[in-house]
Amino acid sequence: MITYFMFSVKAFTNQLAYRAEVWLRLLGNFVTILIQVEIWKAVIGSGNVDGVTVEQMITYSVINTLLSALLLNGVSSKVDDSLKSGGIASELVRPLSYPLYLLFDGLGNSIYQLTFTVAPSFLIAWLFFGILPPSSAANFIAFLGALIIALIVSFLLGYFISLLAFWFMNHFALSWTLNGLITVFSGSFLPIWFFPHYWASLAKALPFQYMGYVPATIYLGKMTGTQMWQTLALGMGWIAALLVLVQWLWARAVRRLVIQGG
Amino acid sequence: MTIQLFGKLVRLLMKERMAYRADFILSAFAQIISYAGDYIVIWLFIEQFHNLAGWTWPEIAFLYSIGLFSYAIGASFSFVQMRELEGQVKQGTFETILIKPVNPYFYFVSRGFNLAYIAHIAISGSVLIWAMIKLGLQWTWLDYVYLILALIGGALIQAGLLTAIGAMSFIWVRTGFLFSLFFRLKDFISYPLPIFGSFVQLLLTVGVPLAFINFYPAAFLLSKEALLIPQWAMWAVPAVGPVCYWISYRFWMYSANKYQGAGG
Repeated sequence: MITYFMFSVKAFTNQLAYRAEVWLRLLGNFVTILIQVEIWKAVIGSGNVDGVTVEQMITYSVINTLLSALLLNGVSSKVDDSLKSGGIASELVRPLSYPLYLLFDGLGNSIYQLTFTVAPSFLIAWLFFGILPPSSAANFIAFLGALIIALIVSFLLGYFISLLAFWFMNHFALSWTLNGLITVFSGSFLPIWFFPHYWASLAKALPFQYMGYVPATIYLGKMTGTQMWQTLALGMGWIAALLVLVQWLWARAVRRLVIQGG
Repeated sequence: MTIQLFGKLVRLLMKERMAYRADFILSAFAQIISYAGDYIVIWLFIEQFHNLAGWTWPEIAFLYSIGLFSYAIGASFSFVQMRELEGQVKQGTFETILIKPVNPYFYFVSRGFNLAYIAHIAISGSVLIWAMIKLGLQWTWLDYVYLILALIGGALIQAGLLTAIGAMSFIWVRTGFLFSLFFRLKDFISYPLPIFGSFVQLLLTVGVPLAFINFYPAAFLLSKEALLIPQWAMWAVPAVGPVCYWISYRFWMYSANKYQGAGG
């Protein structure tokens, strides 16, 4: 376990080399949040729409913008680089689990983002736009659980894409498709409660909602009690299903890689 | 770099791409799905809220499509080339361009001319035409000329900004996050300008002229409130593009001439 943890530390320290870019990242996050804040102010104003106030939408936008900096679906481009350079061969002969190595490497990056961009961005957003506190202690605990589910789901989806690339040999197309699906169905800009009926049921039948909509909705208390715990349980179910899927694909992908030669 | 030479180059690039035809088509298809996602989110938004600052769905689709269409034209001559310039400067491979008997800038951007933007053109062009039909516009030929000039102007603004960021490679070396910041700023123009405060309006008009890419042309063509620019100045709007591009070109050439090489 210590070995894997060292990969996180290494990813973290690698990122430290680019400290100068922190200011640009903070500015980027600020711009993204500002755009959403202005949009919600324009359509909701001082009243509410379906019981949703502008303060709630601002908090929703801040959580989603910052969460997207932590998600691990970028893992697929790392695998793609190794596949193209052939570096994957030497990574596979190491006596460790390749997916766990990828996970901990990604977590190292996320911890870096959390420390140097998400935390300061949160503070800036709180000062400029105001952020609501979590609706209750139980919701806050469930929110932390939802964050962990978001990280794992995003990792598994990214990893799934990278395994598919063993067959399609076109990681570019797969990751663009995934991004398109995330844009709509994660609800990270437009919450699923504002979707028309048909689209809402579609979004709720897909795992992408765990990468934005679910954590923010729980934080705001728009989802409570049984429904909240059920949603989290379903998230665990998605994780289990994706795990089975990637394990199955992984066994085949490695065999396929051997067939191609080194 | 003459037109004839460029035509020959494009034919060669097409041959190169078509060697992996299925791969090219798959990539184009994926980009269309991804941009369809952007359109769908805005459409779902308008389904709920009916309009945004008085702009309806076809009007916003028109606005967004002008932005995306002109981006595709501008970026095919700049984005990937400029993004990779940093690496070439670091590796010292950029020098080979300087010894060619043609203008280094035009050689550099033409050699990297990116055919992959055909997907952007396909989706934004289709939505643009759909929106124009849906809006039932009573246009004279002058309006169509204006739209074409606006698309060219918008392409030049975006190519200009990307070129200016690329030129930073000669000075700053790391430009990756500046490109990300450019795309974050470009999100502003996916929506009508009046929803933003006057600081943002001023910033996007005078500071980084992104509002000239699609907002001002669309506002004039759809007879919307154009805020900072009076109606009589509408024909000056497409002229911002060439000016922005020319300044960036001069900056790029200046930086390339100052560049001493990474040694080696």
